[in-house]
Amino acid sequence: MNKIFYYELKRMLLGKVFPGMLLVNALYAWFILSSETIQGVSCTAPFSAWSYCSYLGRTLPLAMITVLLLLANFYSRQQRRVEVLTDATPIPVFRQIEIRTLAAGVCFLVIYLVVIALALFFYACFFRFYDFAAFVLPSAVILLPCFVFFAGVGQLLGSLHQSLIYGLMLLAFALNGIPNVFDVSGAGYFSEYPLTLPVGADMEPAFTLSAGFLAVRLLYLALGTAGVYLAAVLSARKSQNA
Amino acid sequence: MNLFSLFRVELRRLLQSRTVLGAALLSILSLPLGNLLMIFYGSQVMSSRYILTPVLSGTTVGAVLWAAAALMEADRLQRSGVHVLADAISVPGALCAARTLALMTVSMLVVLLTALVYAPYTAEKMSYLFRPGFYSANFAVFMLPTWWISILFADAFYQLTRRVELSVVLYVLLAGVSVSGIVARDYFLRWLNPYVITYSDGFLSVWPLRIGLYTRIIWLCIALGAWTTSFLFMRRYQRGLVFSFLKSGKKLRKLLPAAVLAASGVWLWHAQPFIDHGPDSYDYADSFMMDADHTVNARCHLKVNPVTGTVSVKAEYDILVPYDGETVFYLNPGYRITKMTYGGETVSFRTIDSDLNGQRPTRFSLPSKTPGKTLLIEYSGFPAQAKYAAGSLVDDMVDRDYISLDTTSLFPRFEGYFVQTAVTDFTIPDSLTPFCNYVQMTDSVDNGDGTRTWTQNTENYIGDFTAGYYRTNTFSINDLTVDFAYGAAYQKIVVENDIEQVIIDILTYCSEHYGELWSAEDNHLLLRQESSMFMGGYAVHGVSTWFETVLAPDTLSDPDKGASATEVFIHEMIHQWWGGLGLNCADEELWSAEGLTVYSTYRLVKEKYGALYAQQYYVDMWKDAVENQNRSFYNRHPEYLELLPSVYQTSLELSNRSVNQYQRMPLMILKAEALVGGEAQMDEILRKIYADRDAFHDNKFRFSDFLNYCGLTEEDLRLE
Repeated sequence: MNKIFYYELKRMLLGKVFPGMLLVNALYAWFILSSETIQGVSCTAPFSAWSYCSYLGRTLPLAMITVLLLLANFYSRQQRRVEVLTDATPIPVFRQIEIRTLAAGVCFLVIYLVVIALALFFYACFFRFYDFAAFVLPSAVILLPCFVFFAGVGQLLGSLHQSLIYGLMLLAFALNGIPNVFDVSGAGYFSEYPLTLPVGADMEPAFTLSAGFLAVRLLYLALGTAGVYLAAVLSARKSQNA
Repeated sequence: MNLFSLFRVELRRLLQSRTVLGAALLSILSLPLGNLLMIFYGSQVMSSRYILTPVLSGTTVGAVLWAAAALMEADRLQRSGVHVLADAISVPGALCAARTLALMTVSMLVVLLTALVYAPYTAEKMSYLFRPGFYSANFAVFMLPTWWISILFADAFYQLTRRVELSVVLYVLLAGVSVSGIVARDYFLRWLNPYVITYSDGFLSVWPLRIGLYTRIIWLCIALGAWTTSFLFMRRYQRGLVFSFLKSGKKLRKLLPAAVLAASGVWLWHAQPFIDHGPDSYDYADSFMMDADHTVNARCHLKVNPVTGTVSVKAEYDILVPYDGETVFYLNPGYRITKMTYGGETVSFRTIDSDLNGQRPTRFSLPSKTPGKTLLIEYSGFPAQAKYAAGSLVDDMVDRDYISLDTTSLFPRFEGYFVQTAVTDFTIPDSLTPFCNYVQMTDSVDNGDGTRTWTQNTENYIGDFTAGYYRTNTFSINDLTVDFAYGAAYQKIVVENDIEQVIIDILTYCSEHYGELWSAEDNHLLLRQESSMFMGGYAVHGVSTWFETVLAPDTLSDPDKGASATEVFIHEMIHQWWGGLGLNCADEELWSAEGLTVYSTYRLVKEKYGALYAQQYYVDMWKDAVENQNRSFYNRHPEYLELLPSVYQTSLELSNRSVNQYQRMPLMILKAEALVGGEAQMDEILRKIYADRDAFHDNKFRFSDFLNYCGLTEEDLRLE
């Protein structure tokens, strides 16, 4: 099983799409840092958890498009032609989709290692700020549900029709920055929510996440997981019919 | 099959293609998106809302859709696995060219259809402001070329990669440049979503169409260059990209058109006449001039050509004593000097491409031993916009219904020479009413060829020349005569909304509360509507101008709108009392004429629309702005400010200054009002200040003076 995972991962990491998109993601992230984050979000410091979370949220649509592009390859015409062969192997369809999701997850992780490293470098260089511990938990809360949601729903749509994945890419852009708890990337939420909070002695609102936001993150996580499961069911049914 | 035969086959096929039909239908349906999603291009004029916004929405969305259609069609043969057969029947390059040209032809038909479909609705909404020619020109200038550019880029990317998804990525990257915030106000980089500041309803604005067409031609050249280059990468012998390029690249004739087209685009970009090469921000260090101790008398003849948008000038200066050594004059960078003589002898000069604040220097020297001669300068050209302001307003332009030229877009500004008297002739279309140095011109001769020559005698320089298709109503308030000049297109609106009465109300209110208007010259006041291309209004001696949208039907039919353009009109009118030649206020970090003007506007609005309205749209908004300013990280920690790039530092400083003058100070005056005992007492103080305005003619009225009049200290007005 590990062999297949490493093979899929190698195919993704060394393919034509990922290296180029990694570079694009890094350039875009630096652009966000140097043009928006540097000004601070909602009157908070550029190195506040609010600004950092908003930065992650702003970079997410492009990262999600990268992930969806990688996953779209599995639902292309060429891939469908070799499905007859892969279906003949003893690996269950669910496990195949699980492996694809994990491989895409590692690619997503690589992108965010670069994106977060850029942010830390930016904070250290420009603001002499090194207290990064506060960023760990928010990073997980923002990134994980978003990835699971898009990977799950993307594969579900891909198993219905390949072009629907491209539609989801457009949606990733369209849903970016809606200023409430349903904001899947969180950019809009982290830009608006601090303005509604009381400020402390240092005039900065303390970093908290509303219960509604956390509940919606769990919902996205659940929807994404359900998407992976349904994609497996649909693919299994198709291969049986074939 | 030759190219034409292939084209006919492809055209017939595409007209029946479901992909193309889908792209066409969605493109047509995309026009209302801009208004539905509240993405308004331009200001609140009708032609922005009902022509510009739909056309630009359709342009951008349609361009993406046609690119998608181009990719689908380009991939069709490979997708169905018959590309090897097709390549055997016809030359791949010819087939690709025929398909792309056919798709461009279909998109042209769709543009025509789109314009026809929306014409009745637009005409009905805009009523008498609808001009069919202007409406059609928008489709021809923005929509059609942008769709073509998009198709060409998409097809070029496909020929390069032979993969749909990679072509999509490349297209998205290129589109990303156009839609990103970095180029938000850049006319030239926005290839997918053309940038237009706004339009004008009252004064037909052709300038945005001129620059729009120019940028489309640039990008068409670049896209055609990319497209023809992509033919070199067309796969040969079923081999890869590099092999195919090496095979094709051997034939130099194939490279030539690509290089010529791309180079043409780059050259056109460099040679563009619309925006100068100056810095992005205004240089305040630019001093006006060195000691001008050599006086001259000038005779100038200025002629405009509204068809080409150009100006031609013959300026003569009688110089008693020439300046010893080299000196300089500044002109609009768009002009080219064609002749320069002194006493009939040619004068050598050199124009230096170092534009600053919308001016380009020309250095010259006159023989100091030959005094008492006439310096003749002839120049002409298309007035260029200063780069620092080009993204937010169009200041210098010559259009059919509106001409606006100021300082160095009119005549040279000399260093070392002082223009003592000037007799200036302006030859303009006879339908336009001219204003020179903000005053309506009166002396004219009809040339009998559709033009009229207006003459003005002035002392010193001419700072502003505006001419427009105006109507002027004259009415009186007690002893004051008011000339109310507005775009002729607004006549119906002015009559239906009784605008004259609104003006009378404002003037009456301010006269009663602060005193009779002193700045009206000889009991005369000119109120003039600006073209919306100018993006603002101003007040000078005896003249108040305001933004065009004050009279826009949408503005006047929306009484619930807070702090609307109508109130901008009130604001500009009140500047006749506070600022300009009313009370001469100092311009400090916190204090300026704006504080008193905004406060007075609030008081008038409170009286007119009620306390609740004034509280919601004035006091609450001031408080929000001040609170946000207080909370801003860089205001709390200025030590971090120097870490910011200078562009953000400047932006933050300007934002702080604006909040201080327009929100914090009115809030402080409101606090002063409460401390002095209420509105009546504050009115009494303001009346006294206005009566004492002469005392502040040289020593400007400062915040400390205001505090003295109120009997308060700065501490008293400190906001919590």
